Amino acid sequence: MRSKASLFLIEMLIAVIVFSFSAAIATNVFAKSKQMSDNATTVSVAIVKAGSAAERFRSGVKEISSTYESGGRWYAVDYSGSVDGSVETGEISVTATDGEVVYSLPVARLAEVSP
Amino acid sequence: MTRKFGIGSGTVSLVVIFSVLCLVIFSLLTLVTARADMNLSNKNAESTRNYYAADTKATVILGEILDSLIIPDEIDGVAIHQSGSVVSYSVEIDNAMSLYVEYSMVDNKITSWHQDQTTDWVPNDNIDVWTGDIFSLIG
Repeated sequence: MRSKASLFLIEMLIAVIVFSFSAAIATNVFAKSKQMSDNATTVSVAIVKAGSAAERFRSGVKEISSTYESGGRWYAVDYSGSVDGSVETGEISVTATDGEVVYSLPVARLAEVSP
Repeated sequence: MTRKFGIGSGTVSLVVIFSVLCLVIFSLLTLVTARADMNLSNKNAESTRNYYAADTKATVILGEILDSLIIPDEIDGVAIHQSGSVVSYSVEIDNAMSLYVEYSMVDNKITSWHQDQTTDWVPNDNIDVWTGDIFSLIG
């Protein structure tokens, strides 16, 4: 017959193994959730910044480019486009410092029509 | 007689079961919340992009109208309506919305540039609340 101390040790060993296993899985799930949440925040902020730049572009502002910081990373809002006839078309993009394009919007404006 | 103080058999298992349950429940709740946030952001991104794509198309069409001497009946699959000196057209944003543009040739001015709903609005008046019937929960 095993002693009480021996049974307790076996139970403790099994408990530690089960807890370690579930804690490892839960940590992975928490990390993935954090990553998804950060991505969602990044996209949400990028939408606001790109939308704001698009409205500035439509209202005739020349200087569209800007930079901002979100979640410890820096992002650049840039415009690239061309003029074809009376319409200027282009794209406003939000790019991270590592070159990843987070979000982009197609934009266009007329040269000589008052809204 | 001396009384022994110690952890009884099974207590450790109970604590571990409780801890594991807490870990699983909280991690799943966090994951579900993060996924809902991500889905919302993606929908927001898609609707914003759809709007600006329609806005760009509408601007390009207006530019073509201004550049052409005769107003065409259709540009890029969009029907152009002319009533006197007023030209109007609608560009589809998504399944439920369109961008309506009206341009006055005489005043050389955009008189209307707004979103229209293309489908009927069906209000959701069904609120799932408990009506006090205890048997409805069982059955």
